[in-house]
Amino acid sequence: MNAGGPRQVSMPAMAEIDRVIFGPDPFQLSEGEQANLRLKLIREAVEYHLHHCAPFRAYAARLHFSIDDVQCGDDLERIPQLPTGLFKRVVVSSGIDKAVCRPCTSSGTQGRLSVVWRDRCTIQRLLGSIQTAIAGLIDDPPEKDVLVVNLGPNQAEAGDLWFAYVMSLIELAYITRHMVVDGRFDPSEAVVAIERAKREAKVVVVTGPPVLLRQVSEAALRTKRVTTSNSEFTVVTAGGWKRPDGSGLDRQALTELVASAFRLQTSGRIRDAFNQVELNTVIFECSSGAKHVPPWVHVCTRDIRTLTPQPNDHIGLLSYLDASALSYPAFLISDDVGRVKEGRCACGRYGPTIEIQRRIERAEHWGCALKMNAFLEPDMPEIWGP
Amino acid sequence: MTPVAQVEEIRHRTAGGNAVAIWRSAPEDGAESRGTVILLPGFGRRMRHYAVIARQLTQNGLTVYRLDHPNHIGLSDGIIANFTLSGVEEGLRATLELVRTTERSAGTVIVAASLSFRVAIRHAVTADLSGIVGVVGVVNPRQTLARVFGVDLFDVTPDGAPRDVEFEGHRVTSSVFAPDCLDNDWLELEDTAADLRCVQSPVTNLCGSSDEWVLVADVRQAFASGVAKGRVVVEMPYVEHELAKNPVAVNSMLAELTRRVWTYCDPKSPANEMIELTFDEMAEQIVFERHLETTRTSEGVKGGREE
Repeated sequence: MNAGGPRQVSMPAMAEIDRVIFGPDPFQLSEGEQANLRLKLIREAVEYHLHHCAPFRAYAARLHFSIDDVQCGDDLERIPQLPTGLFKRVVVSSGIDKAVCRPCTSSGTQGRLSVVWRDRCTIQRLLGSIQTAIAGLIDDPPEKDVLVVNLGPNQAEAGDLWFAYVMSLIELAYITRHMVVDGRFDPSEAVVAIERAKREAKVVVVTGPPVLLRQVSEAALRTKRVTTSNSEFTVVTAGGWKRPDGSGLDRQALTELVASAFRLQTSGRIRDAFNQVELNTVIFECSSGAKHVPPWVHVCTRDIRTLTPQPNDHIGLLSYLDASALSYPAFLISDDVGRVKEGRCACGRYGPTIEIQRRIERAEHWGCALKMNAFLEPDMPEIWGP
Repeated sequence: MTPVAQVEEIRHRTAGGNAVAIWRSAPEDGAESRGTVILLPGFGRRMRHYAVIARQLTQNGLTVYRLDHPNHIGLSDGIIANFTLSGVEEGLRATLELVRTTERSAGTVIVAASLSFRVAIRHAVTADLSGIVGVVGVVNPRQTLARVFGVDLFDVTPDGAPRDVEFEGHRVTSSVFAPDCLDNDWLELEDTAADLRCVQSPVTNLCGSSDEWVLVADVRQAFASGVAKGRVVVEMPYVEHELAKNPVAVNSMLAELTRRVWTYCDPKSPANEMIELTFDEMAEQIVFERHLETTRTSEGVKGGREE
């Protein structure tokens, strides 16, 4: 309190990471600014989880890791990371109040599912990564000018199913029509909804998994209902690139199909978004097709057999340090094989990008799992948390 | 799925005859209200943009009245081209009258966002209120408007015409807005300070340290004139004017806001344990209220019981 003036109260609970996640396009920062921010935010997140997640602290101790080891960007690779398989076996937590948390379940169809408990702040930050990216993609028009056609269910129907839930969240920012109702999806109805949206809004965004987008595009060509319109038309694909029979969808072929079906002049209006249930950030493609990593996430690759960190541009297991998760340590070694690139992208932006090539193969998985299990506790408790 | 908090839709006439659309929400299960809040949207915002604040307050025992300003976007009468700050006060006055005749709870607090905070302060000069809480409340409208629009609305173009401006695609007619500001002393920081000297109610402003439209230094200066009557400036680090863009900051703001309103409505009552909304409760309420407003707009019917 200062004598003679109004009483002044400051609220220290707010964090710099939220200014970055919910602020202007972080990719406009220089490469150096992004790197400095990344180091600072991830360091803070690691300190938080060392303090709040006892098993993570014990795991770090077994690896002889101390936060003081992290002084520069190269040191980020020393931070202990968890195999995503851990989320299939136990509840990983840095403090969960189940009253304000929701379980998020992976969309996989094989074996045990991953369950990640997210609190309000953690989900809000995830949502921030989506809204900031989509707002940037469509040039941040007023809410009233935008209509979204989501080829999935609404929030209630999506339940705990991760990707459907994530995509339904777009409704918080824009008026959204959901095309899966009572578990039923009709591609022809989706075509009608898209055409109606083109008549009603200046900006139309279609979101959905590639499999459903393909069905809608085929229906559009079949029914010949698509009209030209002055509205801006953007497609965001999100989710698996697998058909129901397990075979893969070809990205280029789908892009051409969508462009042809909806009379798009440029494939730059069709973007893919990447996420997996354990990761708390959705990573979007730019106009050049590169997936840009925001400055609150660090990605590196690790050797598939030894898990040794690799230099950029080497193929390996993609590993993430995501500072945005509060309810669990999102420091992850994934099952995806790919590479990380640095430097200036053809789209003009700086910073790391990732390329995901394939899932780890079963034989590779065994070696990798053995290596990781060596660091984890032999008798793991059901709740890996405080 | 958690159930959404329902709103009662009301239409109430101002003294000038404009119908004001009001949404009333009350504590669930008929629980006794700890006080009444009138929630004033900022310029260019509708009452449904405050879905989360209203639900947080009702869930914590308060009755909330929200309105769409007359001559503005939203469900009330009039168009935004005719927007004036005196029109905002007219809507507030009508809502306060309705509250006085309808609610039994003792305390009434105004929670005013952005530009509406200036109007709430003016109204409190003559109205008996339990308190005012600003959310990024504007105290220096001339400077804020200049920063928002990038031009001085109160200047004229070289050919002598007033400068009309657009905000998020909505045209504001300077020839209507500016004379009202000048004639009624809405504009200057000194005018706000002068009003605050006469306000008997306690006043808090929740300010963002990164807010380029409302400078914390200006708020301190305006508030310095009424210290004896309880003036509090709460500074939220990293927060910008468009608070809704940072929902994590909103979480902290909601807790602080609820505490302030509780204290103002009922200073003697012990602070209860605050109920925090879950993410799903927030999300469902936002979607529900947008749908309700869209339905009313598409019906072309200004729904609700007439008071």
